[in-house]
Amino acid sequence: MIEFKHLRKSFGSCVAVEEVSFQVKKNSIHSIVGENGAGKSTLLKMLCGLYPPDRGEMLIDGQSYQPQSAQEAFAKKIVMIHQHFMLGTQLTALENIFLSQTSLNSVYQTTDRHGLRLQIQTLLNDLKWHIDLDLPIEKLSVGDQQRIEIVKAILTKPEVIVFDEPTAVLTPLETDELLQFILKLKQQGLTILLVTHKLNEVIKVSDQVSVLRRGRFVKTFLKNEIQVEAIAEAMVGHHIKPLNRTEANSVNTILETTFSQKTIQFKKGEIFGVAGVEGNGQAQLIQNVLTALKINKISYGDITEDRLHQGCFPHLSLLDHVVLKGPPQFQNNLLIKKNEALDLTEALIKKWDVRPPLAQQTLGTLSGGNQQKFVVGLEMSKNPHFLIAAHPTRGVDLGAISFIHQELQNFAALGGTVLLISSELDEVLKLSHRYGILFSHQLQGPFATDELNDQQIGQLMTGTKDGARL
Amino acid sequence: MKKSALIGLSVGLFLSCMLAFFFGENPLKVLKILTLGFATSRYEMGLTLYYTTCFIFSGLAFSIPLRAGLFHIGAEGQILFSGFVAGAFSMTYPTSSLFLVFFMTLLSSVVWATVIAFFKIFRQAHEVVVAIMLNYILSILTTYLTVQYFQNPNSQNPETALLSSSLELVSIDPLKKYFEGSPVSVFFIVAILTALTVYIFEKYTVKGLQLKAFGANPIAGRRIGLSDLKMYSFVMIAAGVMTGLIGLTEVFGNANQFKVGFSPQIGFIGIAVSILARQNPLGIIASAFLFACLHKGASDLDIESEFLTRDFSKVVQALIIFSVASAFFLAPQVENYFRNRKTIKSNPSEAAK
Repeated sequence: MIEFKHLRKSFGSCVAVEEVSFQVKKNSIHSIVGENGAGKSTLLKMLCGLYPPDRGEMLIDGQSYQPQSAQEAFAKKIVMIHQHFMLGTQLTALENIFLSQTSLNSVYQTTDRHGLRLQIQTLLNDLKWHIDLDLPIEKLSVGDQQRIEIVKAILTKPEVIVFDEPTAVLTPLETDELLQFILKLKQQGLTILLVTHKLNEVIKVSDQVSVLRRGRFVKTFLKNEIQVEAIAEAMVGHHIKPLNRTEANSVNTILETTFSQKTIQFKKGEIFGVAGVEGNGQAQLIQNVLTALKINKISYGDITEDRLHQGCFPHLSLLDHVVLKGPPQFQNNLLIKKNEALDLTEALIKKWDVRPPLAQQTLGTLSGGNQQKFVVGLEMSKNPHFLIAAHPTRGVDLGAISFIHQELQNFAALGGTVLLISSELDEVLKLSHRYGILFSHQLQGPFATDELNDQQIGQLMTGTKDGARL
Repeated sequence: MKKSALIGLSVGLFLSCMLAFFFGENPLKVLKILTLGFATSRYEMGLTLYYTTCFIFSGLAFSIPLRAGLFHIGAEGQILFSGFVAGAFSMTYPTSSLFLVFFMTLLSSVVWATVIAFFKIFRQAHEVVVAIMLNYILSILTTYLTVQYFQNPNSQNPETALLSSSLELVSIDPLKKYFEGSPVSVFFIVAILTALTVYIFEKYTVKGLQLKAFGANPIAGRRIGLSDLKMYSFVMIAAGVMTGLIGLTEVFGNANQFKVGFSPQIGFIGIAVSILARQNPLGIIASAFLFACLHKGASDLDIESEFLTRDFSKVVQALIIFSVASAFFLAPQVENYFRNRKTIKSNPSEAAK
């Protein structure tokens, strides 16, 4: 049993974790949920010996546990599967596992490479995973990379495995497989700590769910109390309004563009979603749409896929952004209309709850979520006919997500067209009127929202089955 | 920000004093030679202001392109070429209008500046490489053309003929009279006005903001429709005008002719001037004056000091740039340190958290 007692950790003046106390039962699946910046990662890193706590203590089976390093956590049979895999991408899968083994033993001790390979093969056969151990990591799919991480962890014969956002990069099918696997680990007597912000998954497998909010512990939900709405409310701290969804009513095509020999028609008043793992042609699609918009002289808002690089100027103030990127009246002018721009900036800050609410501060000093809220608000303030929304809710907390979703819906209801590109499948399915799936620079679809089941979507996202249509 | 610049300046001067002391000179005397040399007579003052004029222009020629992200070190070549065109054109067409000569001079340096921009835009050549090579090409080209085709028939020196009386401005220059015929001219006032204009442009116009944004993040800039072609050619044309004005300052404000090698590396000193002022056009006026004092004082070092030569002035310039640059990075940290200590003293429990 692991117990956290009055834990506190701060970085400078920023308190990441405060007064966190709860227990994790042995041989259970315990989820820790919370918004970005709620302190989940900090808590885990204290457990794994990466940060020492400022105050409070951790107990394992009633004994005080004060790890000074990750090695000491290993010694206590605690391993962590990081969100960003700790793998050398140029090395083969076998070499990566080999490395992790040698680092546990002393430098002088040699590990039997052949014996290790046999050991891994047996393990993979048991799990029914088929991974070529001699391929370099970068050639493996993300799911397989994660499996290599898991193999690395299991080989150390741990008692506690900590998963940090394990499903963030997986397709629905892979997610299901992983959750099944986690249940299997529990049957073998292991204790699992699962950190995530996807509540649907939590509900499927967890025995207990602990909620953190702004660094503080809120509540632990027991198995019989677990409900999405209640947990979400505990995470955000207030009730979340359900999305008020409107159906697309128009059939008028506003824009046509081609992408990989396929013609896509965007209609007035609809949200056209594009799902798919990142890097499968999203950038090219956006480029094609931008070109088509410019040729047809349609006014557009552009929520870029990579906010820091493409979407904003971190050293300029919010006010400057309004002048540079806001309604065209600001740009078609010799002098900066400071007063008008200030009015609009302050209106945006108020409507989108940007904190801290200062128009003259540089955008780079805001947190990622506040930057995104401001950028989304600014693009929509132009009242464009077309809105490119690439990952519009990336890095934003739950309350703001539902606000952005509602704004996108309202925008479409008033006759605007939205191209919604997101790697969050749930987001695409929830908002879109029609959607396509991108894989390997090919667009499948469009489909109606209830046309495919999860399995079919997963297949299209990973290219395991050709679902070409249209 | 201004505070940290002053701190840096004093640290730099202090280090220079230490160094002078180390070499067996009286540090205060050296400082006096270097900084107060301009105040000894009106003529000396005028000489300093002449350097100031040139450094303001060359500082701007560096700072404007840097706003859009171009590291423009090709000013030196353009200065020489514009000076040459001013001299050679008025020698060939002694009866043409002053306006035409000015126009041709500015055009010549603008052309060379845009050459750098075009290599950057269409050939992805790095502006530093192109500019540095152009410096050599233009320097040698002007010498060759002057000696071969535009040599002053009445002189052995490599220079163009004196301006015809219809084009000459020096004798009617109001500033010159006051400063006892020293090299300073009305171009000093033009320089101040130009710096002010650039300041207003950068601070209050949309175009100025766009340049700043483009320089800070070209990728996001392109996404909002600012093209490389527009941005880079705009700043390089502006830089060309600045360097052309230096050519005019020399030929029409000082020498009345183009002399090969007239520029004591004005273009390169402009880089230091601009960096010291952190690209602020108003700051450039001040830092140009500082560099002008040091530059002017350098020649006095040879004569008036026992152990130091004019090169010591370069050392002082380097020390000042070095300390001012580090002051910009260190000042906030030092400030934070003292602020934290204050809070600890006033409220120990708060700080302990």
